[in-house]
Amino acid sequence: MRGLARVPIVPSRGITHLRRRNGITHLSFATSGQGGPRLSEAFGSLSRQGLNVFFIKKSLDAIGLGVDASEGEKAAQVLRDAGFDAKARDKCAVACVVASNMKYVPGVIHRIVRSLNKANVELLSTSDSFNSVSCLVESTDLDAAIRALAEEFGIEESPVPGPMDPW
Amino acid sequence: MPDSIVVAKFGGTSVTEQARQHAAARIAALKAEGHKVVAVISAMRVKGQKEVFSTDYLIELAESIGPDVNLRSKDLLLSCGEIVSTVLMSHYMSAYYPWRTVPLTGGQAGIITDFKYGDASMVAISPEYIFRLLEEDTIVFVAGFQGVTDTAESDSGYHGAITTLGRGGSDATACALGHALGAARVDIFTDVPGVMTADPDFFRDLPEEERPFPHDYVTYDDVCEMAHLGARVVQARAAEIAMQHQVRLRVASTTEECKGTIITSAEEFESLAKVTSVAHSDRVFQVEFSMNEGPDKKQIEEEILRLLGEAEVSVYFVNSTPRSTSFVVSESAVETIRELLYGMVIPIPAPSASRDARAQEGGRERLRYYVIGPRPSSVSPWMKKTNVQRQSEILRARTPGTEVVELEIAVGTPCRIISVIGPNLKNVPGVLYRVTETCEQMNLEILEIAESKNSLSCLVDEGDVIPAVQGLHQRLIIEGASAFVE
Repeated sequence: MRGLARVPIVPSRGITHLRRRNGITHLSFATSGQGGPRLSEAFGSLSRQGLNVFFIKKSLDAIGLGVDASEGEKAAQVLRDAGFDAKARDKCAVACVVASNMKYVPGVIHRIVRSLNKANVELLSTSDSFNSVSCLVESTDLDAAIRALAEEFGIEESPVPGPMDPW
Repeated sequence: MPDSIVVAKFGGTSVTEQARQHAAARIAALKAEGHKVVAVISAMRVKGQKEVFSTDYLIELAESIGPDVNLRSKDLLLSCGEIVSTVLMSHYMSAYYPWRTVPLTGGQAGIITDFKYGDASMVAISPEYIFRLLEEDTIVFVAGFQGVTDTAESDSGYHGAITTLGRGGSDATACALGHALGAARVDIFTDVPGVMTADPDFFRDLPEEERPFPHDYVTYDDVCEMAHLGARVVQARAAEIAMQHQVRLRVASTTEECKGTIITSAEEFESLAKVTSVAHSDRVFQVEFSMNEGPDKKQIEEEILRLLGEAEVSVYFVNSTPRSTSFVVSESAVETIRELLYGMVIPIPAPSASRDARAQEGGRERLRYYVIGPRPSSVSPWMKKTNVQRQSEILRARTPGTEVVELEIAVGTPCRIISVIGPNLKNVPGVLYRVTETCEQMNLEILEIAESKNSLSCLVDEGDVIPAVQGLHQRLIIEGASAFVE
């Protein structure tokens, strides 16, 4: 049998660190056109070309997604060839707040929005999952965004990928 | 591994009067294999019924007296459900089997928690007493979902208060005990034969070959993801404790003979399935407001998110455009949103007026008032004016010249989040394509999409949840790896 001391239980980790990804092209296109190409055709065309997409954001009549900047032009062309009027926004970046369980940490989105507004960082879009909130910003704002988020949550940027990171 | 410790956790449906014999047989089987057994017991629960001493029943009982039950008292009351089950299960075992048994409360088992009543976190376990009982070859029964505080409360001087761990907390009890006792394994006995590829309740009418099946092995990451995204197999915090402390888990059926599913770290696997499961959430609602593009939008959005955060409302699938903001909340948050936001007046500094105009107003900052209310479509047709319109009229009448803007917030129809889960799913080509194509072929509209490294989630109308889960399960799991050949 093991020793008899009190055995600590590691607490739930909450918000743990920040991650950044620079060099992103953000593509957006309308999806509502009757008789137009279907959403799956967009993703199928991108997949067949081996283009990896992330930061997918779908609203009622439009979709936005991120691709690596080196593939931005090709991805935009693939979408146009598939019949979508894709608009590309270059020089974007993502600042990401990572948590072990975002669902049980209410108020995170507000703190993100507040800190970025305060730092005059324009939040182009957000994407969230149960363990991260990613903020799309202009590349030139990325350092300021990371600084603002680090200060708001009292956490640091992680230079290495972790299991909860969105990419 | 003779003499090794196994912690066996039994869910609420496994310890009812009808199911108790099966739970006892599982414990007896572990004993016959030479294990020392610690059994963690949930409060009795019959699907679709309210069992006396179930957590739901006890909450209802207390709230029938008055809605604002003192949190400390509530925890003391709720802990009784598990204590009753534990004593009865222990008594059953000693009545029908030859081993000595001892039932313990969480506190007696050495489980120390923080002071957050209703949703306490375990901070440590003192396993001394359990070790002593196991050395005497006793089967130890521990009431799940509870612990005690161990330091003086700053305001009252009380200590040793009974706390509860939040819903599904018995899984967490079992995993934490497994860690503290150095157990060879934690067995979670439940009403399914393992970690399933989808919720079997959604497939009852389909042929056997199209139904969900249990995995032999899955990773901690997968189970954490499944738990967070709605699968009820193991509580999320329990999966996290198991992962953090590398506790080997097995999920198996209480009533059926089965080998169950082993949950362990990815390093132990030679190859991993591309898609492990299709999970679905409880009912959620999409909340949306639209307004003119401009600086007010940012401030209003920030203020609404602040109010919701302070009210402990979690929002997800946040979608912010220059003219609108939408997000998703759980069903339990909808009433909070209505109570909190409808009727709220948010003042926003109006664009700077000229110096002369400010001087005329005594140098005061001009404000623009946003009055929040429901979108008229959700207001009864016989009401001539919504409350928000009345409120705006009063504001305008009381403060002539003030700019008052009516801001309508729409709470949509019930939705569900469906998630496709798999290890490193983000790097599996074609998943997004197959998910969208499957939904299109079935004429199911995807309202929102969200992603993580190990999952892809879609918001769909509640009426579409069963066909969507069935369709995605068929395409991505039953058709299996062949679905991903480009």
